[in-house]
Amino acid sequence: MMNQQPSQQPTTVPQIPLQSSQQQLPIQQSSPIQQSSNPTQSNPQPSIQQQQHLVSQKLKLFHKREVDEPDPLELVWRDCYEKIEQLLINSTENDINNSLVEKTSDASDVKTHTEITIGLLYAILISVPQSNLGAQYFKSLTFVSKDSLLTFCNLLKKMIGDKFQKLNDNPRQQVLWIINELINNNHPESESVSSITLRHIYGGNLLQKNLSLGFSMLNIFISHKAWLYNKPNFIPIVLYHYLRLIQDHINKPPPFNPSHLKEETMFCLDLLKNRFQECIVIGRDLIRLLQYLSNKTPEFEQLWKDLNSKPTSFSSSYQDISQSMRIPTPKHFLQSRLSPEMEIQVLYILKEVKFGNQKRYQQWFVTKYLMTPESESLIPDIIRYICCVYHPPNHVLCSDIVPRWAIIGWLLKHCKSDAWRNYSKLSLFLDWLYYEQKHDSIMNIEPAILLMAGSVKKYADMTIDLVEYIIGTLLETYDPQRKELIKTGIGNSFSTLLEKNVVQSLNHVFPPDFIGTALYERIKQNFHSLLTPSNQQNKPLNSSTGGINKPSPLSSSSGGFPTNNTHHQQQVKSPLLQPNSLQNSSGSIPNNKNLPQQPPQQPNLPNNSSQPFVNKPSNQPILQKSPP
Amino acid sequence: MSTFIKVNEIKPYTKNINCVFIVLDKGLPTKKKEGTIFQVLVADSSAAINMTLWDVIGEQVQPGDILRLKGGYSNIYIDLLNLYVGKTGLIEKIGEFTFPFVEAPNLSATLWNVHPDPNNPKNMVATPKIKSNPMKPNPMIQHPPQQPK
Repeated sequence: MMNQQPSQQPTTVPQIPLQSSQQQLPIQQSSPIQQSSNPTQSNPQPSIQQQQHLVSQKLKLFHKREVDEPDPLELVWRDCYEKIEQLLINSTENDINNSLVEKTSDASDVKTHTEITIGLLYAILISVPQSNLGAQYFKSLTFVSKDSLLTFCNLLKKMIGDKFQKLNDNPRQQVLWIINELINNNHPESESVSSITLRHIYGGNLLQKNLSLGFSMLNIFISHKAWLYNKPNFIPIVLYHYLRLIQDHINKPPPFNPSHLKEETMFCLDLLKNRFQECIVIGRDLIRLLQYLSNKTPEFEQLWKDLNSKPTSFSSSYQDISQSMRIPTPKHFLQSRLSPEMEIQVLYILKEVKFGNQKRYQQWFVTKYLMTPESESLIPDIIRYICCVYHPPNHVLCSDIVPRWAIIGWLLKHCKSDAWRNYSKLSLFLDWLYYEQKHDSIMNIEPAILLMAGSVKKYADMTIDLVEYIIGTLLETYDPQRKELIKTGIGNSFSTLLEKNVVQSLNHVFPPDFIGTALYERIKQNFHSLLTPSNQQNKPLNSSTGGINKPSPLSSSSGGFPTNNTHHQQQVKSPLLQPNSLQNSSGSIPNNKNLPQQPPQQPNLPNNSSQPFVNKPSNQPILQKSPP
Repeated sequence: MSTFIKVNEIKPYTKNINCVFIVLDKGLPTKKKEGTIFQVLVADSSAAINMTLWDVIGEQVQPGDILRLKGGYSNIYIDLLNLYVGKTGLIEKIGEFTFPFVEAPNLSATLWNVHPDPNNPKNMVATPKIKSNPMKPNPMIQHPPQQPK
């Protein structure tokens, strides 16, 4: 089975240092060179730098500049390789195989088997693609391997997941060659190795290296169509990747080759037409992508028409696209469009960084991934990931860690083009459209409501923009044919969020004083029943407790917003975590409609975060003086 | 066996500093006779400090990089604490982004007085200046020669 979570991939070789542990355990670096004592002037030994230089010359796997440490993984792999290097270079194929078989003859000696596997993997990766050596070593490997290449594939997947982007060009090509071989052999791990490699084709990146990776992988799939057609779980994964990548390739000038777009399009249409049943497991995000493409290319426009006018021609049980819209997209599809490294960084912000301290991390993220106009197409992917893949546990919700809505707000603000901004908003609200409590997770729709609630006081334009999107776009023009269904879904979303006390009432989220009475009236028209009676009488807000910006005693004592939504995930009925239930003397499940008007809650904004969403370079002066 | 310290353990004239930190900011290059220098602000979970990097290392280092310093040293330059790699030291990038830091205290924000050690006049020692009485930097302060790698 495929394992989409790189962090959960089995690591069969414990002695290989994990990249993620580096930062926490800087002292335990395993490189023998680095543990040398600091040289003194009288020491005849080469200096640290000289030693380092000698090592670096031998390292061929990963790109290394002067400032980069020798890669710890490569040091370990190189050691394993050097143990068999002479054998590989100086012997005939037969001798190599005999010798390696002899070395691994002891079945209980797993270590040697692993070391030789690593040595051969390294040898394959660093051999020149044009030579026959890689193929010869691969043959030896299949000869020697006692676990049908399982160890080999696990090592390879770990390396691809953690370090593919660091690979030099030659090993990068060799990885593709290995994938091709695994598919040729119909190896059970061929899907999972391909999956992890597909994640490294960046969305929103038109650099030649990235385009060529996407096209190379596509060619592998096209030339192994029979293999692909026999992988029902893998078909939707590949389709999701390429439908997404096509978004980036439409109407693009050189260096993008238009014939590549054509091939990608044909490939996807073929899967959709012939393997529709497998494709629709993607659920609502399939429709999101197809709808986007239907406005961009004639091929997808036609497909979209067919899908709407004769859905049963795709599958006899397929009546309407709303069927797909009701299926929440499985997490691994959404996860797959973030590269492993990008995912680590997003998760780091959402798990470790305190609200108010996120600005530098945001800036670094932008510098790395979101600098170009075309990179904006990544933002919908990241928003889908944050809404649906990472659902913070209660202890994070209770803490002062950056909430998901704040990061989404920042990403929306980062969108410069209206087109991507609108598409990002659709990504944010996609799970609202056909929301049903029994099928959908409230955590998927929580960020949008908290973003509206958390912004309304200081950044009413954000809340207004989102409300206008709900009312003006989603309820009206988005899908006129299914207007009523969508209205029901959005109504369900609001009522679930209220019922679970994610927000206390819609009056708090949409105070007319902040969003304007005209917009408030439009909300009232559409969601009349969800507004509290007090507000419908236009009772002034906060009349009982004073200033509108003053946090309610309840919210401040319980930590404000983050605490307030702690319970909805598992419906924990702790009265301490439910402000409303404290006031509900009857002890019954709190019902917002019967509650007295409460002051709106102040999101727990730190004092120094005057602009939590806007990514502004820090203007704190750091360099008072310039040393020599 | 090298011992790693936290940034807030760096005092004036500390030798053989081993430390891991993240780069928060990078200044513009300054051309010197011996090469080009870059001032960077680095930090870990305990404190931040200014650091001087030379030439290609300075060029390659970017904000967000996690660096490991081995065998570095600290000095007072124009009243301020500053971190250096030095000729025998080594600085390497070991990762990026996923590293906790604080921006305060910034050890390079305190002003220091430099004077010879009364017990051993060959050595210099530093004492913090009183903040309410900031003195102008003394242009005569000695600075150990810096060599590019």
